Amino acid sequence: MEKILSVDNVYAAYGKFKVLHSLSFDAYEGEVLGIIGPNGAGKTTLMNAICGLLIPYEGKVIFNGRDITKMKPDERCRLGIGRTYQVPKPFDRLTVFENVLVASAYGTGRSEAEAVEDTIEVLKQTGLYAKGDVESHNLALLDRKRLEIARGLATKPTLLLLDEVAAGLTDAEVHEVMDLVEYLKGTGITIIWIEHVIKTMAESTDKLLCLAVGTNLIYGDPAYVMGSKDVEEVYLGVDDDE
Amino acid sequence: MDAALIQSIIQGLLMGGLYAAVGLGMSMIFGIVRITNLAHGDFLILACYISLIFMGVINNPIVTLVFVVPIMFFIGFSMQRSLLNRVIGRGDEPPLLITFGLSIIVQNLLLYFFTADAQRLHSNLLLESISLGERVRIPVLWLISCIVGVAIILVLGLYMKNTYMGRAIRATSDDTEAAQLVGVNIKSAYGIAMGIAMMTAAVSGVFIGMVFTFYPSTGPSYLIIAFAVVVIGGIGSIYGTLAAGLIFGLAQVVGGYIVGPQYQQLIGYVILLIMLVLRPQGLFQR
Repeated sequence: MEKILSVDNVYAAYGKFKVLHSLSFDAYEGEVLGIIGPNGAGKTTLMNAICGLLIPYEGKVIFNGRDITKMKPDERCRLGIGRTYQVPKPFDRLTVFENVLVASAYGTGRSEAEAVEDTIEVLKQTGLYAKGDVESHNLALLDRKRLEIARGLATKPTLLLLDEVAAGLTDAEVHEVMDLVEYLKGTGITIIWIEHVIKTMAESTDKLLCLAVGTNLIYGDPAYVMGSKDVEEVYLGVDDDE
Repeated sequence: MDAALIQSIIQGLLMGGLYAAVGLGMSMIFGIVRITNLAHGDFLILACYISLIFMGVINNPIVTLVFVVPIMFFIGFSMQRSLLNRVIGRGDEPPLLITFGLSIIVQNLLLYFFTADAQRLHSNLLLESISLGERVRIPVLWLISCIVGVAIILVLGLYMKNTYMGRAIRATSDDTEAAQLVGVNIKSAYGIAMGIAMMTAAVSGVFIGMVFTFYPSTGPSYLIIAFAVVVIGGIGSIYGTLAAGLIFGLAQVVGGYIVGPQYQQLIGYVILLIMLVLRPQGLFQR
């Protein structure tokens, strides 16, 4: 398998608050890489460094052989990196259709006319087609999560970053979102997937990376990582169901 | 109702349409780029002077808009791209200082090139009016300014709602980060937004220049009108801006009729003050 993303010895900070230390890992084309770790381990910070919202002060981010460490988020998006938020951030005053349309047009550098067909396709795939004309601030949480994924998908990513898609949902809703993630896996998109609640994701990932205090603690097959003493320790006291 | 009151209601509404257009660009930039453009009034007056230059060749201020509008778009676009975009995300003060500086620069450049003399964009329309009954007359120029003011608001509303760039601008205004993550280049969206805001300043400015006299230092009084319109209408709401302009114009003129024309300006500011105390988010904000 080809390497699609390399995070190479990355250090990142918010102002003086250092979050990532010497973090390195690779993601391979078509795989689902799960990233776990307790609160404050730097999971979301890592996402920000990959999608461009935070520029590491040391180290490199390589995407498809290209150094994108300092590239702006919108350019990375057009290169093929999509991202969803843990707390959905739809464009509130745009309709669901428009949300996806903007992503489909700008995320790929196409005109709206060219993007409309894909927009409809994505809305159907994510189960939002019937709600296309709803202004997105009226959506309930599950649909907002769907819209996050739809918007990410509409930018035609080759690498999609999923940030805690299951967080805040009821069990029944988690199943619906998981079905959507299964579908994404089937499309061949490489997925880097952060989740705090490990149970929901462990079985659907190809590889797991566990972060602790800003660096990689352990990396490998899900069964190996989940069985590791180190992982047990960093999660000790953290209820799996929270 | 007596004729003089009807006359002031008509005039207030007509004035309000133009006021709405004066506030439109300010409201847009407030809502989208989240910058308080303290030079908004000065750019409006700058547009008057640019029109004045073209008046040397074309003796009709409305026709000069063909040149003034694109020039103002270019000025707005370049100002955003070369100055304001550099300080995006570094707090509220830097852009405020930049626009304050621009306000001083524009005023003084105008003073240098055009002197402090009062100017007006002369138009034959100024003297014409339509009679409604014996003592009520509609001044044609005011009517046209109002129609044009309302028209640019409607056109801008449609542009924002239905176009490729409009949608990106609205998306950016809703969530800057998320907009970048779906591929929108926000700095270029900001540039276009400022360009459009300056186009609206150009049109409203030229009509202001036809109706009233202006000097290099008149800008700030229109800044305050723009402010009032933004405050009453609610930040970034295009149709709220229209309603706010009408309310503000009406209140000024009718209030002036009731308590005396010398208080007309004061009444406007009292309304602004009351709004800030009672409903600072604006009348039409969710």
